Amino acid sequence: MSTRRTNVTEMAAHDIHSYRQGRAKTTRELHLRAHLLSATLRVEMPSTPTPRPDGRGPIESPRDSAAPLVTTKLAAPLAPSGHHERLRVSLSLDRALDDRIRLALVVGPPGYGKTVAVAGWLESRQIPRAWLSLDTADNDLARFVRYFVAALRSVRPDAGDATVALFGPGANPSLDLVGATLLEELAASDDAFVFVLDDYHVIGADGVHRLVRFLVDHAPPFAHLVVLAREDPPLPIARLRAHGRLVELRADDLRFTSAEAAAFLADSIKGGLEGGDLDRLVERTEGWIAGLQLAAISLQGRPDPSGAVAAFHGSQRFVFDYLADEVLAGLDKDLRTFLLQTSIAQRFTAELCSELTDREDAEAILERAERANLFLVPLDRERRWYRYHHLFADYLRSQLGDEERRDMHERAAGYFARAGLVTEAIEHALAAGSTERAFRLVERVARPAFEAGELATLLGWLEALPAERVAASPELVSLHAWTLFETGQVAAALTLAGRHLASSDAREPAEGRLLILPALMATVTGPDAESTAVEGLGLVGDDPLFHSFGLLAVGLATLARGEYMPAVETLRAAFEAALRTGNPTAVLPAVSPLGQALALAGLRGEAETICRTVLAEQADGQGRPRPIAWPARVVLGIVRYEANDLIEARRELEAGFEAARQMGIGRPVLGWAISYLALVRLACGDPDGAFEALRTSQRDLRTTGMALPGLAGEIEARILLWLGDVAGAGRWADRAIPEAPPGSPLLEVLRRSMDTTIARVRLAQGRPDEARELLARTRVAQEASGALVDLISIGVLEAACAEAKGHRAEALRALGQAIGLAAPGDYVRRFIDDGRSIAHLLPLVRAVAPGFVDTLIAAFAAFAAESTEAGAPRLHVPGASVWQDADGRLLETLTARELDVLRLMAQGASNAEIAAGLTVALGTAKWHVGHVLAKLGATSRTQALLRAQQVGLV
Amino acid sequence: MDRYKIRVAGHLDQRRASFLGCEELRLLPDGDSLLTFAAVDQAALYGLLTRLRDAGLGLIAAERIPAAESEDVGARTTER
Repeated sequence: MSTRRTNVTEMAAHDIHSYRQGRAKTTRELHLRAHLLSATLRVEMPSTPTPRPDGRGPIESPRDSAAPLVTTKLAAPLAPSGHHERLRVSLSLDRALDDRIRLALVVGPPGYGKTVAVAGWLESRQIPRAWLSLDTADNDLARFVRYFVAALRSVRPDAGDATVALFGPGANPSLDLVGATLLEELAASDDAFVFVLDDYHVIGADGVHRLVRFLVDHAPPFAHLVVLAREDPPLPIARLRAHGRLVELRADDLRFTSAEAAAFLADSIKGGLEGGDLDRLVERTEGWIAGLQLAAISLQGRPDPSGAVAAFHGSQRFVFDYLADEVLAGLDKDLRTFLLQTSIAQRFTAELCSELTDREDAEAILERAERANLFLVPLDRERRWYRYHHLFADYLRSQLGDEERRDMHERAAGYFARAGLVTEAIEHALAAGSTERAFRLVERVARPAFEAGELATLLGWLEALPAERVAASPELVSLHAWTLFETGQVAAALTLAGRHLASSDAREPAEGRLLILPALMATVTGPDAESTAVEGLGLVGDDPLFHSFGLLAVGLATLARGEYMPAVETLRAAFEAALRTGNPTAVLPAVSPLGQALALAGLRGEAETICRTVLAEQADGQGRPRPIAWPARVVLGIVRYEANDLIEARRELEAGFEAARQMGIGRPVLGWAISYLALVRLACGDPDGAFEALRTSQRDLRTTGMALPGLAGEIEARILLWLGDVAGAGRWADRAIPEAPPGSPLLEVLRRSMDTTIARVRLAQGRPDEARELLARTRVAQEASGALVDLISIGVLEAACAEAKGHRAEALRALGQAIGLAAPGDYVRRFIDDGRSIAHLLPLVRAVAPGFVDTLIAAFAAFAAESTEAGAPRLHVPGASVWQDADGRLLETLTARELDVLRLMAQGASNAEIAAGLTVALGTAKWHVGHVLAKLGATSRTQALLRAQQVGLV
Repeated sequence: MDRYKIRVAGHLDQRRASFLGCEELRLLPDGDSLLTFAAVDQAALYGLLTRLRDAGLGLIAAERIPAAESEDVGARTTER
């Protein structure tokens, strides 16, 4: 029974450490543990892009209104009319396909025709392709993945939302997991395809780089990534190049040769150019395609092209500026003004142009501009959305006066805001210096962005606004604090929340959310948490998400006090509130606390049903649970252990832990479940594995500041008992004291748990009287808190004590009582773990619950037949099971195998000799040596042996 | 705040230089432009280099102006 309680304890101890130290990583994990998983998985992408019903633009109808999917990002630009396929480029890119090379890199300054060349190649090759034009907003990994998957659907129409679903508030998926999930979608079929990432130079986010690197390293050979950028991306270029696994096209490969320039100009300029003029033009532009294009435009219809070329050739001006000046000078004033004014938009429609220029005839002017080849790039086949060539836009913007530029940004902000493209609207408002408008827009989309997990984007906006303006908005302050919290900046989040609550007398929903935040952090640190959370709950109003968070805070605080039934009630309400968010995955944060409370309170069946329902909902296409559902797997493992289904229990616990690791949740956070992982491994005859489950590495000790002393010691004592080392367990029991911060409600919970295990040890030591006394004391406390599972274990142990003393009647009474409690929930394992010495009494109490007792008898029979315990090796650990070095630091217990390794090391054995001595593989020997060193905090064998001598291990 | 001399290929005009956020523009006889840029920090300097890249300008050299010389350069009138 004690394990159960310690779960809460350990978790709480962790909370306290995290809370006090304000460690970003740890507290983030804590937060994850507290509400376990993301509340949102709401981004859902239609499989085919559809134009908006109002015909205004190619924008997905947004379920998440903060970030509708801009489908023009997903289409390869159309090759301009008269486009010649770039044969050199195409042949190089063909090599990627022929030689099954995964990465093709096209790098060069703007204007070298990278995009057009690749788009032209794709058009002529008819290979399935996905296209993603990146912009700076894609530096948010969640958003990048959303677009990546949307683009991927053009080649893998069945690609699901599994990868997108990894992101959301409270989710911090590891790169490995995101990459692996994406890979699975890529490999759904083995048809070759090309995935183009255009404008990759805008990416600076390390997470995105790492993901792309992962794909480059692991993608199947039929997936060809083509990366277009103005600078070398941080991908393993040198390595790939050295292995001939890279197709590379650089500026020199891209610039026009004289022949290409001649062909190009022949199309654009009537009659072409004479040889000398052509050479001068190619020389002056250095084959720069953008320059040649501009030259072609400005030479069109010139009476004296030769003279114009000569003038250009003689000029020292920057090529683009010279030619663009020429081009603009040749336009009428209307068109020139139109181009300048519309240049501030990254992309635009005729409607936006009307807004910017006050002209009704924007559509006609755009058509004129396109006919005149004025660097206008249509973004869709319907020719609704356009942009200017980057270089041309840059030039135009440089020619626009500051005041006019601000005015244009202001107008664009208004237009995008009305069109629902809030991200663009905010960017333009900020560029216009219109902070008030930007502020109102951010206020509008902060909540949807928060729920979609686009936290980097949200933080970027909040930080771009004047701090005092944000501070004056309770709504934004509350979401700012929660976003900081979600991104691991816990100290900042708490400071922000505290400052607002102290300075404002208002108590509205925003303040409610701010109250719940610290309450959730402090659930187990003190009595204030609960009242704070209750106050917050009273304020949040009809807001299922935060209602659920608040109830979780209250429920966890109740659970930490050991009041199980009230905790169950509250956590059920939290679960139901989460269901009301209308989002199936919002329930995950509540699953683990609720399942745990139910299991503790004896409602094993209800916990199991909830877990199975959640797992069925959170299954991928093949019916496998998604990593995000790890809390349900862990809890299912626990309740299956209680039912003595060791196979499923072990599978679910191991898989749940692995999934949690993939989701970026560190092991110590799962301390509450670690005891079960250890016990299930022990029950499967794997004491080393059980020790391993408890092992908190030196690194974890440093980063989390906690060593799980109470929990680890207690479970270690149980493992020692299993191994027959009663003396070792006795040494633990002699010194065991509950460790919890002063004033913590956990102290009491921890003490009861520990006392029960001390009773186990005393019983094994043949001191049943002492055991009985401890149990009697613990029973009183546990009855008060409704800890049904603990009472089962206490009953079984009491029966064993009485039987040891020869008090048969008392033994039968205690056993019968335990059976009465355990039968409704099928808590079989508690009897196997603690009741071996009284198994023979079972037939005598069969009347209490005949079916359940028959199950127990069968379980004992199976146990006796299969157990490896009798022949298990004995482990002798000198000194206490948890010991300290000279500086008083807590070190870790070595397993039996590690002690053997240490002894061989002390004899000067090499790794090979250790392997031979233990008849294990060399790798295994090395692995053990590494563990010994790590556990002793040593960096060398000599150091390890020295430490081992100091503490008397060798 | 550090000042930098940035040399790029081709002659720019004053509007372009202002748009890039540069304080001063000198056109050199060999066809390069010399821009003076006051960078709050390294991030600002890299930001300028990125803008030069995005304009398609060829970077020839970038050099920090020693503090003593900085005033002198700042006082120089813009040449066109």
